[in-house]
Amino acid sequence: MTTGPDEQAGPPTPVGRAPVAVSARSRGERVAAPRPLPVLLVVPAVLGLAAVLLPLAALFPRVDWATFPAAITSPAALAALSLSLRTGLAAMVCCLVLGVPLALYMSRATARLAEVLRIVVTLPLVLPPLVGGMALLYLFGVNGQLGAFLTMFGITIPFSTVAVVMAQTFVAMPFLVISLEGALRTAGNRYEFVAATLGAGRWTVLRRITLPLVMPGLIAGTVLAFARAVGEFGATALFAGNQPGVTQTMPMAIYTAFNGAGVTRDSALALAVLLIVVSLVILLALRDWRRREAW
Amino acid sequence: MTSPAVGVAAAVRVQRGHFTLDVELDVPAGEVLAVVGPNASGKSTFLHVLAGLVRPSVGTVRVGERVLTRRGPRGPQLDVMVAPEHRGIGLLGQDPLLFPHLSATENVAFGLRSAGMRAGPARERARDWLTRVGLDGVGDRRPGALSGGQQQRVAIARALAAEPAVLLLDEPLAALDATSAPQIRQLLAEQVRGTGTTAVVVSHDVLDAVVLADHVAVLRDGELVERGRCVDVFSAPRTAFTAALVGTNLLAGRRDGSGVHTSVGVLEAADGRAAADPPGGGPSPGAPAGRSAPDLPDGGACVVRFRPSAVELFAARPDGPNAFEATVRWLEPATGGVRVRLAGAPELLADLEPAQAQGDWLRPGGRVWARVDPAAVHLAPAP
Repeated sequence: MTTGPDEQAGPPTPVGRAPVAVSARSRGERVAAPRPLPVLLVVPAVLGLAAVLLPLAALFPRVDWATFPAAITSPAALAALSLSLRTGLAAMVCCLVLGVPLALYMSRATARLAEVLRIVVTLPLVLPPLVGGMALLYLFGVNGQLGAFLTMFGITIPFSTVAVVMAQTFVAMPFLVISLEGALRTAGNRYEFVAATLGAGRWTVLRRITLPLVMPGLIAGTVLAFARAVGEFGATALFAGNQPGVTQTMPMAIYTAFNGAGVTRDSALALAVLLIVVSLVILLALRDWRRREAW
Repeated sequence: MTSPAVGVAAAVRVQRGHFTLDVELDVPAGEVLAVVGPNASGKSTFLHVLAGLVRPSVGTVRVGERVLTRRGPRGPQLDVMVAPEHRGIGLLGQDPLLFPHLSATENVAFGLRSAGMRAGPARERARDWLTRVGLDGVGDRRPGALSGGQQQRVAIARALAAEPAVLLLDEPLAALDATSAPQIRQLLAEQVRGTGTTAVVVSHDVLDAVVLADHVAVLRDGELVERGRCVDVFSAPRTAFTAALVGTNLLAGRRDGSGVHTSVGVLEAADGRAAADPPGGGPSPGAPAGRSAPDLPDGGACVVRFRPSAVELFAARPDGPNAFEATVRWLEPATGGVRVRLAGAPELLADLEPAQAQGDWLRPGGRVWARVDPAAVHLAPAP
């Protein structure tokens, strides 16, 4: 049996018969030129861009590039950077371990239950992080509901590195869960059922079908959660404190340095620039990865 | 298996609101059963029961000697509901549903890998399958880089490579264009028969049933109304749906000495004995004896059928028997001529040659006279 010429998915033909499944949308093309917008809209649009870009750009001329290498390699700065990376990664892993199963169940819940869960999970996103830190302190503090119980076993969480990770997980989890749940709902369950009729058990379906299908959403959610964890300040300040080497992450170090204690204000500036550059690198890497994996 | 003759045996009732599916069907091992019926007749529900997606209100599904579903009055402790992944029942729908993140080869190898085969041999086997479905050399492509017909070929290879005990085909050609559908239909027929796979195919298309299946079951409102070998059922349909499906005319009636009383009047069949066998175009060798016309008692309920080509149309009342007046519903193209649909319940079809259809006497809404050649009127007992 040979394949007829009509079945060949060759290069796009100039007229009619677009090749199946390689839609124009996925290649970023438009069917026609977009309709022009009202001219006046350009003013707020440009201002909006400036509102994001100008403050960040303003930081760079203030940096003393001569002392920059020394500033970002000072022991305090290195300790803060190292702690931020370690706690950020730990929080990211916590978000994955707890958030992926939560998103999986949410995506299969009834519409009403999913709506309720979505609101609950989104709360840390809209709450001031300070409120989250306070809540964590009341739950895990020595007099807290869980804290008192843990104290009996000699475990004290507040003002430890573990507390940093917990605060970061608290604020970062919504980013992962919400984006993953959306991706799972979009993917639907038809492929999973096909996989089951091919004899794949539940773990196989999860590992080889469900998660790979939502991999772009999962990666994006993970990176956002990591970035949010690294930037975490408010909840960490209340729940974990600001002890160099133990709970002083990059944002805490920048805040401390800016207020003139520990490291210098130049160091604060240098650390801030470093954070911006790291964030840019992460976003660029994410974009390249998503483009390569687009199907 | 002690009884290799049993492929699938299902006797199930599904209650869903006002709809009840009540079906008892079996497919001998290695044979293909077509299930046809109008929309909402329960075809898809039946497939879902077989696949383990729907739990019947009561009933049993067996594959060979293995009970896959059992729900009975004897209590829940005897109930069985095997999960879809443990049934050995494959599914091929109109949408190929290839896993978009896997290459064609990996898609075909998926079932083998799930069954525990190692990656190397599974890829080898998958490549063989792609060759069998005419897709040499595209194994490394992702589904997004394949045409619709190619995707369905991969889906066929993937379904058959898993060696299912039973393959369910749910309108497998419905989404394909007119060029690829015949090729894929042929491929499916070759591969399903070549592998000796027991299969159930649901389709709207009589051609699918004829090409793919040995037997056909006609469902209406959740009930089985006709069942038999394709050649018997389609050459001598006894229900309006089947008649419409094969494009023949069917009228219910009651027989007495003068002929058959139908909704269009009394119709004569030239020879009651001959009427049971279709003339010319291949007598149906398997027509059960109990269905032949001589066994029909006077006054018995029966159906008469006649091909659209046996109906002539006239502007004025023609001479001879079997003439009746009717309203033209509309005209449509037919092979080598014009097909006229006549209003009524059921609708009747008349195929005319182009020359006969000329003139303004034949227009939608117009009244015409129809005449049916008595020699072409066939009788059968009512279903």
